[in-house]
Amino acid sequence: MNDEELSSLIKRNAERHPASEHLRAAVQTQITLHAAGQKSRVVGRLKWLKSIKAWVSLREAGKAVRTQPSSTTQVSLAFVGGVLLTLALVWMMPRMLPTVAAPQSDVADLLNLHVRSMGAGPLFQVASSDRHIVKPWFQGKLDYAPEVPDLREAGFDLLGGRIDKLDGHDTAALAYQLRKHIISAYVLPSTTAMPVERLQRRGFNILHWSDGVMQVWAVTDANVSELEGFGSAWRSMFYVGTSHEVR
Amino acid sequence: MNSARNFEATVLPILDSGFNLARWLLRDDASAEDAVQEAVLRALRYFDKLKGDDARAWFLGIVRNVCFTHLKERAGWNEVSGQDEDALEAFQFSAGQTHDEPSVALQQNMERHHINAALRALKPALREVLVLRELEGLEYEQIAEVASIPMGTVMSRLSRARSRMRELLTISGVRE
Repeated sequence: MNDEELSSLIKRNAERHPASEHLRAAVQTQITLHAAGQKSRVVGRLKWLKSIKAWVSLREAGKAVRTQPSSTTQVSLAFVGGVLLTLALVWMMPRMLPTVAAPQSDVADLLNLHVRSMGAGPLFQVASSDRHIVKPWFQGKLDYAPEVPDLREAGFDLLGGRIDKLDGHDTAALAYQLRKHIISAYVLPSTTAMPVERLQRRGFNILHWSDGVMQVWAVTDANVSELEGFGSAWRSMFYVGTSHEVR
Repeated sequence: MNSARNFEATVLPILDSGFNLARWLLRDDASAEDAVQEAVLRALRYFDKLKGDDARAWFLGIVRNVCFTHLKERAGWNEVSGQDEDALEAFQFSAGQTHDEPSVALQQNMERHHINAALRALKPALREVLVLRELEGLEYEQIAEVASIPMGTVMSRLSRARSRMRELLTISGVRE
């Protein structure tokens, strides 16, 4: 068999692996966030309105991948409108309402915070894989005691914790690592139990649940099943054997 | 923002090439996707240094470097420089499977299977040049740029890769 025969044999038979849609979306997100990150470094810290604008432009910059069945322009326009309205309401009535489940508008903030923590930092203010160090660190810094589960056995290594401003409130943010992916988990008080909610924005996967006492928003660029694994590992630490169990 | 657009226009069309190379080097989807994303991050940082050069070779070079770093981390230098024991074992197992009177379709299927298995069993440095040459259709100069090796090394690696392929395909009975 000469070189040419071998060459055509390989060309004819060897598999070509195309990039998946998921990878394509993730790369587009990386590019947009990179551009947004460079801008924000010049402008400084993103404020409320800026973060909305950044998020809206994120949505416009490319086709958004959504897990929900309906994703027409009308729906997303209505959605953006809803976000603005909600934000306006939140703005006008600060702290008059008890802390309930975070509204949809927080998703934009969550993404910004998650991305900023990985770029401009800090990823964590207390660096430790030991929950007995991370949990007490929040004492005196927050008006609640966040859950800090040790999920090492499930493959999620705790990197540390930090405090982020979410919806105007100091909020516990935990950083976990799975392979090369970072998962940010925002832990905050809640008054209503909510079933697990799954969202996907520009290649990022977001998971939210609440047991009626604490709620968790988990944000990552790891894939959906990995994030689901994170969510169920977390919930199994707290809800197994109790009547609280969240679906 | 403009440079972001440029970057998108440059990299998105060659994302398939990048993933294909990563997938052949790392041999599983998840690792290959991670590698491509990491390569994009690096490419974003150094994009302004690319001026009129061959964007495809430039990007494939970054992907390739990420993959080789990953291979070294994964199994020590052995997997990169030495034989690929797992794939070789898998290859030998599959090479042993024969059929007495295979139909044409089955025969073609088997041929396809053996060729992919043989390519997977090459050590990464050889697999790399063959994938770049035969699947991505790169010229020798471009392969030299991607792998950061002299042209002479490209030629000798290609020739070694081809004779190794012939050996393996003879074992599996694709060609005498």
